[in-house]
Amino acid sequence: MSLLNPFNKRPGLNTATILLVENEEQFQQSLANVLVEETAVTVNVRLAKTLPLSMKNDESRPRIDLVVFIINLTLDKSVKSAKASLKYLDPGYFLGKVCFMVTNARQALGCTGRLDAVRQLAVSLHCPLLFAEDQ
Amino acid sequence: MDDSAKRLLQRLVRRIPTQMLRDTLDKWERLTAKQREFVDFTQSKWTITQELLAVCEERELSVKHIAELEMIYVIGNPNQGMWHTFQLVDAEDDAHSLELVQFKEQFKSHLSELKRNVAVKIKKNTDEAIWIRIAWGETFSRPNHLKATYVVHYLQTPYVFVSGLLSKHKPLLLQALTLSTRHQGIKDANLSGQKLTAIRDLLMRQYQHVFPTKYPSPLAERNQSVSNLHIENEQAEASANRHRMAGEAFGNGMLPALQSAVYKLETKFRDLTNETMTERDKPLRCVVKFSSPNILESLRHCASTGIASTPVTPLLSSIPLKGRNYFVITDNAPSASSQMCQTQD
Repeated sequence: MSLLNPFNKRPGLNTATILLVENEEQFQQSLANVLVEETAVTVNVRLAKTLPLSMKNDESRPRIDLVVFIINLTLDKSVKSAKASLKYLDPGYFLGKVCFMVTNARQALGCTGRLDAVRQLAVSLHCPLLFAEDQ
Repeated sequence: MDDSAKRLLQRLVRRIPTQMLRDTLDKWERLTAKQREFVDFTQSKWTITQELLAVCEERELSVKHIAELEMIYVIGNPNQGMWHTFQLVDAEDDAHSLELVQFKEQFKSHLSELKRNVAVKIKKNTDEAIWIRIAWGETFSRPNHLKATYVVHYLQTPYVFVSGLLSKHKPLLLQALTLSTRHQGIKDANLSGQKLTAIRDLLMRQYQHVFPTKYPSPLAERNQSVSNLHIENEQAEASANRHRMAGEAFGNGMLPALQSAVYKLETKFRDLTNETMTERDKPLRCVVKFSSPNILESLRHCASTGIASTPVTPLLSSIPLKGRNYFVITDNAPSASSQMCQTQD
């Protein structure tokens, strides 16, 4: 069973774990550095390139509360890799525990097709779509 | 000063940027300090040319001396024009103990035997490279100094780098080189580029290599490159593996700035969705060219980020491994200048 399951582990006290999935493995590092600065709660961040995650870490891995797919709009592979990774999430995640984050939307103004495809994906899965830039 | 010397000087002044011109003239050492001060480098190129012509006339310099100036400039700025590499094969017994003086004499005599009216200048650079400048002439005409061929050779290595060679002179030059370096043959090394320093470093393997080891680190240490304990990389091992394999294929650190790689494909068309093309018996000929300011760095980056699959395919890793950037790929088993074709999506 390589599906990532949202409810098969106990939650941590005052802790949240966010999984950032990004094919290019670039933006996720800076985003992670900012997320862990949150002081009100303890935020743990896990970084991955694609799903499924390896079984070896399964035991030590805490419960993942939020999965963020970071998609670089200028690269086609980014979109494809995110779509392929969706299959490995338990449907329980799509009740508010998945979010799509799109980067480089300003640069990709020429290829609106990709943005529309990501928008459609987010809408069909009832997930929020956020836009971000690495500055 | 005769006409050809004047024309060569004019050409040179036009070609060399003004700042470099001053340094090159200093290195040339054919003009006195006073004469060099006389030339005003803040003026237009035309004025500089006239002043230099006047000064060279005073010194009674000939075309040979101006050729020297050109050579100094090219040696100082070798990354221009197109350089092609040749490899000497079948060394004879005394090839490894060849000395500069012997090589110079032999080369000049062989080349003049093969062709009359060649002007040859040989110079040894500080980094042990031998630079040869050849101006070719016909039987009844003087050597043409405006279109000189440059040859760079490191003694006791089998590689020769050539720039500015016309195809009609190619067999003569190659024969003279083969005989004077005491080898029995010479062949095309399939490596060419604009930057001489890059192709030389690639061929002589002057970059940081990564040697494959079975145990990359002696202890299974947790290398906390991520300083924050709250951040953890799930697939760090896979990422580290990719980096390692990319480094093994291409090397670490700064890589020689090779700028293009050309693959000439003579393979059959393969696409399951397109039957009409796949049915054809004859191979589909096409040429794939990769260009980049530094193609080895780009390929290494592709491999370490997962864009290119690892372990790196031999089609790409042969570029640094075999030191060539021109490949002919056919469907047959690998032979001297071809490689096995692989289907890649």
